[in-house]
Amino acid sequence: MIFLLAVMVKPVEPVPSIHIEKKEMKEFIPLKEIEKLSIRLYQILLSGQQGDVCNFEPSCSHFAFMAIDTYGAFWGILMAADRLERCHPFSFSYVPTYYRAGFVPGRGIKILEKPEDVWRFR
Amino acid sequence: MILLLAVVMQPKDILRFAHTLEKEGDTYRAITEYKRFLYYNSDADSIRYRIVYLYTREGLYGNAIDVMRTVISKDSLYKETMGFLFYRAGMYDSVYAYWKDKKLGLIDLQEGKFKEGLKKLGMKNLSPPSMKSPVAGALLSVIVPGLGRIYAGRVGDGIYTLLTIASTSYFAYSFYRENKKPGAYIFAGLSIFFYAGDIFGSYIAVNMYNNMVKEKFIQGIEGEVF
Repeated sequence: MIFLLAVMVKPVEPVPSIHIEKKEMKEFIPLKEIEKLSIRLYQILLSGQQGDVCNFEPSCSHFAFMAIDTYGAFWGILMAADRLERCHPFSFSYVPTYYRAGFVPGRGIKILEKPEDVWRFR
Repeated sequence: MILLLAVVMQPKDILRFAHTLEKEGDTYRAITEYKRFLYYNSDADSIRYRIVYLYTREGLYGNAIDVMRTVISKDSLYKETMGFLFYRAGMYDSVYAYWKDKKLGLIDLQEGKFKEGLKKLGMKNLSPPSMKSPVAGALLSVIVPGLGRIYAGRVGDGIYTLLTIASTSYFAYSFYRENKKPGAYIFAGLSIFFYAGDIFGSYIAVNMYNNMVKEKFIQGIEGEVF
């Protein structure tokens, strides 16, 4: 009987030690963090009051945040400035925008209604 | 029930079902059914090419290449298709193993060597597309803000940028004249921010314009070659 048990019951294997890799801490760059914080503050305090008005997806503030986070303070801020200069109602000539502007006789350039099929781009 | 279906469903039925799914536009399920058919008929290369076609239509060149590697007869069609798939996937180094003819000129075109590419393709009469200089675009933006973007064909962006930089600079100057220094610093900072962004953006915009021109040119040639 004991012999049978000894054959059937497998010895308990020792539990392998779990090795948890520590996440590498990102390098703290003050200028980068200040820029990111200012964008976050804008998103919390101001952006909500404007509503959904950006032409792009993701919106300019999200793009700027990601750009700074990925490419650093210098290149990120340049990319953000470039993006802001591209986000305007006059871009309708080559981009179907969210809020389109068009020439209305007698009323000049007017922001037209939101098109039904919104096609956003990066 | 599944077991019963597995017994009842013959390879012919699977193939017919796959064709139906493909006709209905259900591409991914059709691919699954075609693969199921291959389980029964592993030597059916025509079905493999069908799967490759469907993957290519969806832009999944990596998956298509994986399926192509299982093709049994490595004939000229196999080489042509593999070359095409590697070309479309942008893996130009691998294309040389499969293409040996004038189509290799397309790779030169993709790499920006227009003269060599056209020579290989036997299209010497065609003139290469006219590219614009990104450095010139950036320099134009240094001289007049927004001009680089207009040079890249983005007139709306150029005018908007000029207005933005002009207005922020004007505000900075007027605040400075009224001895309101905080306002002057804020607007001067904004002005520099947009000015630097414009120079950078103009460089990028001209590069994007060049890429667009190159893509259109190559698409035109691809239409003749393939």
